[in-house]
Amino acid sequence: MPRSDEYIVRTKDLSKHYQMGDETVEALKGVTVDIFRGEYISIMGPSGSGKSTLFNMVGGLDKPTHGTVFIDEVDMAQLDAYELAWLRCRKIGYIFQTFNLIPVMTALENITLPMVFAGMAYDDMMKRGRELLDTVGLGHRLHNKPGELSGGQQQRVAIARALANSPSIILADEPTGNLDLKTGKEIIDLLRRLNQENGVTVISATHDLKMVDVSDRIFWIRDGLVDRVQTRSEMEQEVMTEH
Amino acid sequence: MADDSDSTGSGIDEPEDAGQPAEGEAANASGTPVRHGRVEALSEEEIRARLVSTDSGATLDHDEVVQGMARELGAQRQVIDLLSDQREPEGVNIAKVLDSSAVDLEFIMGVAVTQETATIIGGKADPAQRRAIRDQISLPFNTAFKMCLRSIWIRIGRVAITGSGIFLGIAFYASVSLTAAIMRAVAGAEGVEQETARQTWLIVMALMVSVVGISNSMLMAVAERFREIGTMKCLGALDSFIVKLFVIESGLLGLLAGLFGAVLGMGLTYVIKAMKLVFSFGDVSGDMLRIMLYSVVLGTVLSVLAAILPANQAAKMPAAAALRTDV
Repeated sequence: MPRSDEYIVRTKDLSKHYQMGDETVEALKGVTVDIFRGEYISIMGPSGSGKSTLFNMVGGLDKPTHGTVFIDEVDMAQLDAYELAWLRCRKIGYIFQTFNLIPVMTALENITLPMVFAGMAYDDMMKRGRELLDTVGLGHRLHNKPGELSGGQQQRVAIARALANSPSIILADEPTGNLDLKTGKEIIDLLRRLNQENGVTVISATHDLKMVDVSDRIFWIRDGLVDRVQTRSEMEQEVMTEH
Repeated sequence: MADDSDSTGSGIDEPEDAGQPAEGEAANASGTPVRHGRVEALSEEEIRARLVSTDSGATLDHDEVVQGMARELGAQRQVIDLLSDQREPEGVNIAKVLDSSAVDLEFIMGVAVTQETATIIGGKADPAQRRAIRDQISLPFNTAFKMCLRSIWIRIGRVAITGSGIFLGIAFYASVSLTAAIMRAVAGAEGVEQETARQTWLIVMALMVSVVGISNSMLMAVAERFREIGTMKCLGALDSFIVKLFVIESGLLGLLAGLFGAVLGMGLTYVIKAMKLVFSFGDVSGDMLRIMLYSVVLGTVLSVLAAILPANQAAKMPAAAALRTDV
């Protein structure tokens, strides 16, 4: 699905300071980015560059010290606890490096948990849960617990869970960080497929260069600032000239 | 679809506006076409089939539902026609039509609708709409209870250790109380006064020790699940859901530990009395019921008390901080 001209995420002069003893660490130093609906964005940068912090701010998991985050033109700082939960539940799907499935629940139960919070009826929930697991190619592992699944399979379950309430945005923090090359590639392809077929915006913090091939734009973060923003065609040209 | 409709009637009028090109241009004034959803129209038969299956008849009677839906159908038809004409901009005012619609268009027509989030939450949204959000985030007790049962069962070993603190405390309480009751029943009230004071002291001490013990276990049990808590918050759980889960879980644990503790305590008392060849207990069945009840209540309350503070603390952590923790 082509990207639209509508903004889905905007950040304005976003900064985050952490107090470490007497020292103040500036993880972000004023980041302004605009992301369009339907884009596939990679936030790249070395560890400690602030990409995970940016991820947390955009996902409403942490509060910025200064600046604002707009999701669908809503200022996150204005939201109360219920609205924030609502936003996380229905508008944003999260994927983590460590999968973060609930260990005591089966794949199907993990996927239906966000639907429980959204108040969906039991039968609809089960139906959608099964469909989602089929979508990610795990239709045969409905009742397995995370411990009985491989890393790649767990990440697929996590992706299905992120899609549970048909979010507009998928936020992925190092989604391939704990996976081997081949499985990582599969996960990236799956995310790209969902991005193209469902039009869901994918924002992924990563330092996996495999992500570059599928991203519409790449934000390079260094020392808490956006170093540069590259579109894929710019990126490809760069590669061409190098060779 | 999330919106509450105040009037189904206006649903007939709205789509006619939607058809006006003027409206379309207004939406396009900024030069940015607004896409509200993608549409795949269903055949008339499919729509009828879905209409029949959606009739839950909860508050309206069947005819009312059918009539209402027929009207909605007329309105939504126009939207579909509009969209299938591929007129620019795509999806003109579909949100407006939907706002006035009581029927879930997404379900009936197979239309995926993305609503403007700003109309639902945040400063620009209607205050009534913002309040309505509160009912759209839920964790029903039944589900929470099932989740807790599951969670207890999976961690049965650790739960048993946590529970044994309460179990032993309550067993001690039950045993001491029953002994006192038997003494009173056999010997009458004389000389028991002083004994009772000493016993109360013992019981209070025992229970305090067990509370400190389980507080420690509960702290660990909560800390162990920081990441799970953070994940749940990412999935849309309110802080209160987290507390609710831990309260139910610890309550169940306390209830069971209290029950078994009472049985063990009183059972042991009988055995000990029997070994001392004391066979006249008097009638203490009333006391036994009382002790049983107190044990269960005490066990539950103590266990919940021990869990609620760390759970509350954990629930209030920012999700990012909860996710970062490695235990």
